[in-house]
Amino acid sequence: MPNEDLTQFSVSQLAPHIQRGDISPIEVAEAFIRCIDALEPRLNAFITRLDEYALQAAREAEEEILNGDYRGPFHGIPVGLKDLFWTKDIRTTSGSLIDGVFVPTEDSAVASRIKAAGAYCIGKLHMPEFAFDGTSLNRHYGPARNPWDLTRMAGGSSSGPGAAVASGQVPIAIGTDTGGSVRVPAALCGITGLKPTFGLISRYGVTQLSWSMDHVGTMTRTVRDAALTLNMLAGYDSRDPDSVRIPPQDYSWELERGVQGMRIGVPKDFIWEVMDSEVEQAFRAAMIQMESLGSRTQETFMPELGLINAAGSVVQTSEAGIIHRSRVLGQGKHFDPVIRRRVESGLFVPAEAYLHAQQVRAKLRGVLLETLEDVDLLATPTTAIAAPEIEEERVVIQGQDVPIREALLRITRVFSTVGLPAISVPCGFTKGGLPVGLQLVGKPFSESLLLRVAQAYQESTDWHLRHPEV
Amino acid sequence: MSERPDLTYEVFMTLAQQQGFEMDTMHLKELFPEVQAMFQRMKLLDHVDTAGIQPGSGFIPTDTITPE
Repeated sequence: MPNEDLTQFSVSQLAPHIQRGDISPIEVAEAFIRCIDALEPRLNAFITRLDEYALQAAREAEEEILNGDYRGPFHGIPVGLKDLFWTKDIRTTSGSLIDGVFVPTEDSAVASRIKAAGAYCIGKLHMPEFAFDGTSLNRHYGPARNPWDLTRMAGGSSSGPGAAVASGQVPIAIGTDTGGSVRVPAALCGITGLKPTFGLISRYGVTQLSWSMDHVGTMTRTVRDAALTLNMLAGYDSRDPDSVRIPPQDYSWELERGVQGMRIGVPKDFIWEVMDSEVEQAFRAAMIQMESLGSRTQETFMPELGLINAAGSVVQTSEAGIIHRSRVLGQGKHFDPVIRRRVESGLFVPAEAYLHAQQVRAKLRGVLLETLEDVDLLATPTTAIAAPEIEEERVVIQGQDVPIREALLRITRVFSTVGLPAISVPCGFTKGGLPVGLQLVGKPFSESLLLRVAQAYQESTDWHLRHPEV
Repeated sequence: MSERPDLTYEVFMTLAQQQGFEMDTMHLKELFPEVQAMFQRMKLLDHVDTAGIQPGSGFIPTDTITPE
C-alpha cells in the first residue's frame, strides 16, 4: 500500500496501516492535500481549506501513535465537514454571506467527536445557502460540480461532501439531511450516504434549517466506513433537545451476517409515478441481486406518501422561516434570491397550518410504521433521476415535465419527514456514466440491520469501487 | 376542516406588511407564487382527519439509558 495512491482507499483500509506504522498520518494528509490541489479548481467542493491545520493535526496524530496512544480507526484520518458544523476558531459560513465572518468559539458535537477520535477536519465543504436546496447551486461560492461529469450538479444540500468523497479529496465527510441532503448527493456522486434515526447523532453546533427534521449523516466510500463513522458520532448529548438516550453500540459487528431470509418491501404507486427508466432499471437489477443473496422482495402498499411530503414541506419551510426571520427581513438582499423567497414563504404559514402539518406527519408516521411491520426494511431508488445539469430547473421524465428539486427529493423527503433511518448505496450507472443510488429504509434505531443489508449488497457488486476520472 | 380559501394578492400584501416585510412591490410580486404554492400544500393537508393526534418528532428507543 505505501506506494499506492492513498486517496483511493477507504478508512477501514487505511486504518490498519496507520496503526502499524506502515503509513504515516502525515503522508495521508499530504496525499489528500495534493488531491484537493489538483481537483478543487474543477470541482469547487470546498468553501474553506485547512491545509496547515490538517498537517499540524497529522503531525500530532503521528506522535501519539508512535508513543503507543492509538485511539482507533479514525486516528490520523482527515474528515471533510459540511460548512454548517461549528468549528472552533475556524470560520463557518453555512454557505451564506449573511453572518459576515462567523468564527465559532466552540466546536459542534460532531467536530468534538472527530477530534476525540484522533481525526481532524481538512476542510469546510460546499453547500447551498443555509442548506435550503437539493441542488449544488450557490450564488455566493459558485456551484459544486459532479466528479462524474463536471457539467452536472453534485446534488445537495451536502454538495461539497458528495463531490469531495467521490473524487478522493477526502476519505469521509459529514453532512446534514433535512429532506434528503445526505442521500441525494450520495446517489448522484456514487458514494454511500447514511441518515440515521432522528436524534441518534447530536446536532449541537449545527446551523439549523428545521429543528424537527434536521439530521446529521455520514458520507463515505463504503458501508463499512459508514458503520465506523456512526460508531464515532452516535451518542446522547444533553445539548440537543432531541438527542436520544441509547446505549453505545458497535454498528459494524453485524455487517457480515448477510441477508438470508430478509423481507424487503418495495413501495407501489407513489415512488414510480415520476421515475427515469434507467434509474428504475438499475434499481430492479439491484433487487434481483438482493434476491440472489437470499432476501425476498415483496410489493408494499404505502398510502399517502405524497401527503407526508406536503406535511414535511410545510413544517420545514415554516421552521426555516422563523429560524432565519431576522436575517431574511433585515438582510434579504444579501440572500440568494431563490433561497430568500423559500425562507420568506415560511413566514406566511399560519400557526394552525403548521400544527396541523405536524399532526399529519405524526399520523402518517404511525401508518408507515404499521406498514413496516410486514417487512424488515424498504427499498427504493434514492432519486428519480441521475445527476442533472448544473443550471437545469426542470426535466422531462417519461413525458412528464417535472421540477428538478421534485425529481431529486420526492423519495428521500418522505423518510426525513418521518425520521426513519435510511442509507443510499451505489447500484449502477446510466448509459451516460452517471451513478444511480439504491435507498434502503429501516425501522427506528435499526441502523445495524440497515448497514448489514447494504453491506451484503455492496460486497456482491463493484459499483462502489469505480472512481471518476476528474 | 372547512376548505381553505385561495390566497389573494391583496391578503398576501396585508400579511407581508404585518410580518414586517419591506413593501418592495417587485420583490413581493416574485414572492407571491412561492407563498401560493405553500398554501396549496397546506390545502392538500386540510382533508386529513387529525383529531386526537399529538405531534412529536422523535422516537423513544426501547433500551434507553436512565438519566443520571
